[in-house]
Amino acid sequence: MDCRETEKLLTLYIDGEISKADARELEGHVKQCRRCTALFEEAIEIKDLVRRIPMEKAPADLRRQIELQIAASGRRSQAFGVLRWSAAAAVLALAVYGGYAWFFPRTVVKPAPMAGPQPQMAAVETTAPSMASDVHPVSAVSNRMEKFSGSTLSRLRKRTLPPTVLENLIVEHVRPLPPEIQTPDTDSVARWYASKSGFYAPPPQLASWGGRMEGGRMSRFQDREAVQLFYNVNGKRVTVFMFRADMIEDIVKIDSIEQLEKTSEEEYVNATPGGRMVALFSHSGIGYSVITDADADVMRQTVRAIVSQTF
Amino acid sequence: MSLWKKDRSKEFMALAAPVMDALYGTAMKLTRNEETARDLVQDSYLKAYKYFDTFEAGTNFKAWLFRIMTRLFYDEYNERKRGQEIFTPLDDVLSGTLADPDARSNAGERRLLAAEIQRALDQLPEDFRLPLILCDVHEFSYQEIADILECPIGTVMSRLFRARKRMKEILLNMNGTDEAQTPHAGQIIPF
Repeated sequence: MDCRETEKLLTLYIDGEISKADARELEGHVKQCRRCTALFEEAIEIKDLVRRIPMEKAPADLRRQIELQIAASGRRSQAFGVLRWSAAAAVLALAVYGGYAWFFPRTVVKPAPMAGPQPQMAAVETTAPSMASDVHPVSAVSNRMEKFSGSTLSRLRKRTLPPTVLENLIVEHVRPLPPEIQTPDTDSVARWYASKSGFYAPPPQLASWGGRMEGGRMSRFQDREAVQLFYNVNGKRVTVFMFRADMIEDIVKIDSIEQLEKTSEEEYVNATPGGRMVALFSHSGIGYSVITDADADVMRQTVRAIVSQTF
Repeated sequence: MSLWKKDRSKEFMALAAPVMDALYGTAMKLTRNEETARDLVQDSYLKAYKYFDTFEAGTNFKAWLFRIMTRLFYDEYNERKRGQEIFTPLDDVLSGTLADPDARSNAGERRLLAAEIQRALDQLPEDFRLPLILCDVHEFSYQEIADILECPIGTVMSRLFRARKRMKEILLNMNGTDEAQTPHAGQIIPF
């Protein structure tokens, strides 16, 4: 080992990141070279100085504040979990009741008149809840539930992204990690992510209506590999995630413009309380999620641009 | 996904509380501002708790928390300080205006005061300072540092090498040990 190699390996040596064989060679050289001995001692000294640098400790009030915030956050999430359970249970109960009431029409028992010639027995009338004018209050609820049966219920299930997924998408949109490729050239971006991920679908072309590609990065969606693309539309960001569509079981498939026109936006667009929109759908086997804080038109145009692509 | 979201705050804090001093100390070295360091640590904890479900049990929790803080720092806190003068111009360091003459011991001695080491560390760009602290103070391995900084291991090695080289130059200048090696003010030091 010569001086040049020793100098190169010195950092690794003092950090304990060198193989035993290399360490022996390095030590052998250092012992017989004054220059490298000096370098070696200096390197050790600097490491030691940094190691002993005084580090500030977390102030007690900060520690307490964080502990309280985390505890409160834990309670909130638990409460949210209970709330979700309760909501799910309520919907289930109503749906079951609704189904029951629909298939087994309710028997309404009218009280017998207090006086008169009629026989002293209750009048029995059979009626379907949706038609009865004097139905029991619960039957009125089940009447409303009827509207949510069948296809509407399954549509609702599809369009509602789990809150954590929605939250993650928003975080990645609002505070994305830095792009790994930065160029307005969509072809360069496509070549870049194809080499990284094996996605050969072209990136959405938004230029015709003012959407400028800013770049992209390799990211994660539902813990799987995804391409994250950044666009700028009149100063507002549009983030597009591309991933394997089969990752999401009941993703809304929109494979053509005709299909897009027949599909209600509610099926694939989620609005967030913060005023953002998150679309989730698949096109030609690729899953897309579009997140924007621009207006609904931008979302529509982006989705249309994706769906009009053929590949 | 389970509908039931457990309160995992205790479990989280059992792992996270012992790391707080290390995280805060590093945040101070990065931001050099107490208020910003407090915000950075607090935000890091809240974010880490939010994503605690994604933490793989059995892996290095300390490194995971550091990665979250590093991301936050580069993504958000760097934005905040843009436009501010972060680093003292190197010329000032080299011309010795920062080295307090009263704080020095004999120039020939190699003993350095903690304040001087701190000052030298402060002169390093963040990209050098952080790997150095992670390696020398917190004793993370190169692989762990690469994971925290989300960069290749080769970059970690190169940054550490250059960081130490730069530290040496700054410290030598502060102590005025070797006139021949001390660059004159305004000279650009290659790194």
